[in-house]
Amino acid sequence: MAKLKMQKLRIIAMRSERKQVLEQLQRSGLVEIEYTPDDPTLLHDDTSAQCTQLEDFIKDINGALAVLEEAAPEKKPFLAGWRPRPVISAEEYADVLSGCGEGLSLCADIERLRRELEEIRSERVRAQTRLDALSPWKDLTVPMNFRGTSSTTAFIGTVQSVYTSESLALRLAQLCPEVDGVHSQVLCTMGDSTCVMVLCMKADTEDIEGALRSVGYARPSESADDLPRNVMAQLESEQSGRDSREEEVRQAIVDLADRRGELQYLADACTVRLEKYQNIQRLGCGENCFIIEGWTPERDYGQVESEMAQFGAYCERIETGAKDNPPVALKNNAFTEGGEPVLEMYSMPSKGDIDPTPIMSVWYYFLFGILLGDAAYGAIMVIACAFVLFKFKPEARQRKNMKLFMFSGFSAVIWGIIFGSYFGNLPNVIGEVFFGMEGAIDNYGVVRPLWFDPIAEPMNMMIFSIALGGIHLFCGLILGIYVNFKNGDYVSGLCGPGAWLLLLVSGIGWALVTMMGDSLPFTVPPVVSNILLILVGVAVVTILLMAGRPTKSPFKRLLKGAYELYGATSYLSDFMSYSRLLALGLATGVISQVFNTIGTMFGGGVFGAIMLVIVGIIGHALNIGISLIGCYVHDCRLQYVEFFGKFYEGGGRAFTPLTANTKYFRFKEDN
Amino acid sequence: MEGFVENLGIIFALAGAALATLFPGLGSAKGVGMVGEAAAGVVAEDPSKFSKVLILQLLPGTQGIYGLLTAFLLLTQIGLLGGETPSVAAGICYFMACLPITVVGYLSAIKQAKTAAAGVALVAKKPEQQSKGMILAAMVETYAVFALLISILALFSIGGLGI
Repeated sequence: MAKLKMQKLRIIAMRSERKQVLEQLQRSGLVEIEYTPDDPTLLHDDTSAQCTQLEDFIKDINGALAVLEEAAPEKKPFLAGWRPRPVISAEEYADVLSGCGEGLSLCADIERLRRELEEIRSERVRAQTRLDALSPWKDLTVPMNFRGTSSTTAFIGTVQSVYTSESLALRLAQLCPEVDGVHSQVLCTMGDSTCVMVLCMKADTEDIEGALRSVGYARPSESADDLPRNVMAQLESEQSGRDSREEEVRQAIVDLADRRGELQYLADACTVRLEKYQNIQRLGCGENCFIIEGWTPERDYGQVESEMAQFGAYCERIETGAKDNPPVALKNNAFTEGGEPVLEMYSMPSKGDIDPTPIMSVWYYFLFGILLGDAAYGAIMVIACAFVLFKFKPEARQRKNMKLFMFSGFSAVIWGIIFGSYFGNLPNVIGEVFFGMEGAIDNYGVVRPLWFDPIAEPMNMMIFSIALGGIHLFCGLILGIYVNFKNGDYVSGLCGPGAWLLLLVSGIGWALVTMMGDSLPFTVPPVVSNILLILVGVAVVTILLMAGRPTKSPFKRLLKGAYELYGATSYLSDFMSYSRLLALGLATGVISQVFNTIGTMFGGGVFGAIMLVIVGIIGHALNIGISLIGCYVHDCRLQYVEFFGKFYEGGGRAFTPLTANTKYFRFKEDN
Repeated sequence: MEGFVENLGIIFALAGAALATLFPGLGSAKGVGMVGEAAAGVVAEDPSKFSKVLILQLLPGTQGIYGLLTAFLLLTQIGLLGGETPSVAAGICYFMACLPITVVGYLSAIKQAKTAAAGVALVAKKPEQQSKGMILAAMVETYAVFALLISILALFSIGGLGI
């Protein structure tokens, strides 16, 4: 439980065994390799060329996989993301690596097909553009590049504004009254321009051209030497040829999709090799031997040593000093490991920190239950998570997440029973509407809360929430004292979190006794209140005098102490922050009541029952979704800000052993 | 104008319910829209990130729900979906009770959307950090939760004042 003790180690082996040694380390995944510092007698092999090549391979393979995915999406089993990846032995990997060339040629094939597909698609767009440009001219009985005969000149093009054949002839006659024998034909109009062909005698070319320019004449870009309609027919037949060619190419890609597994395999194999090469750069190499320095969990040292012995490698422990910063690996039991993802998201424990997971996870589950506060919602969480956990046996990361929500759900079941909430007030609503129990909703006719209903008595819930928050905060302060004591800093422990704990406990105690002493069921002797007041004074003075310890000047020291004391306001906001336990619980509860009310608006009977089921399923599914997100983040916040703020520093470096961060397959069984 | 003054109570209460639905709803609609635009950009690049950005998009949507919740609770207190028609004083009290969630809900939804949109940018670069983006955005929601709390506590206790 808690942080694993790490051992720094040094492995010295023959250079000829380097490949085997690294592959063994990678397979067992127990050693994090540190960059050995520059030592003039040691060389660092540069493997960046191999790394770049492997990165390129991986990129190509992923590109090919993306093409396959687009053409033939992979059929994934139900809840694929939660299922563990298939396990592959190291030997199988080696086999695949030897067949690397085949996989890469498959990639090249897929890439070629993709380009072909792209080419066809862009050709189609180009042809379509040409078709669109030609379509106004389809009635033209001469080719588009027709410029006239030996004695005539032809103008084919568009003019601004709309004309008919007659109005165009009239306009031209107005513009060049002296010219005769002009034939103008309007082919069609497009918006506010007109496609025309104008034929005139060769001698009048300049006049007519001038006249046409003044009405905005422009030649079209199309200039085929065949009739437009023939060109269009040609293009259209090509288009349909393209359709069938595209289908062929697509089918070819789909046919290759069966070999997706090979590529995924290869991508992972390349990743494994890439990680090995990246780590080679960190090794110090002599002429005939090489040195690995790194970290391994203490408990695994023996295993590493015996594995290394197979290759004639020498393995030794290195004494660690104060300046060493060991990486952090967490080990928690089956119940508390659910909190690890929450902790990892915040920060790994630093050297001086304890692993807060065992305590934090219990609090996380506990508070989650109150935040959600519905037994039925909790039961749904438990069932769903337990299904995934036991049916799929997911990998470590998902397993921890599933446990987080399973135990949180379990807590919600318990709190739901305490607060009498099962899909909100559904049992009572059903009792009143369908079974004629008068006043069941208001008087909890079917199910009664075990303790109280937070919706009916929000003030009680508020007091309960803040009191519970106080215990959470005190727990954090006690851990703060513990951490300081563990690190041998007794003064800091007592004068920091210790003094605050004393101040808060005695201060709250004194306030309760003086303000509510009369309403308590037992009489409090006045001496208690005096003792509490003295304790408050002691705590205040301690903080005032001791918070600025490192400062020499007494005046500055007092000022620092006073500033520290001012931090009491942050405790106030910490306490108030726990009112979210009430607010989120209320929101969840009231929204489910709203849906229950809407569901029963159709009255009793069979039709009413059907409507209640429909509205209930939709409404409660929505409410579960929204509430779960809210509970998750607000519970995280209470741990991170209110709880961790009292004792936890974070900033540790996670243990990242040399292993294989593969995507599709598992290199080894994880623990 | 006959009966107007006598009915001022319910008029005020209903105005409060309307505001509590309107403003947080508008804020959430605006916020969810803002994050959605950012999210669409990420999905265009990588459709597999859809589920990650969708959760971020939902975050500023809760203020609208809080507003709806407040309004619904109010309707159950003032004789529209239950309860009794309030006096003028009580009606004004109900109106006041709606103000925290009305104002804070609107503004916090938009601020939260900005944080969530930044979280979407975070997911685009580092998808594994999605939950951190969520936490950052949720910090803003704290204040909407507090406003909701006060609005609801006030709504529940006005009936007991006997005014």
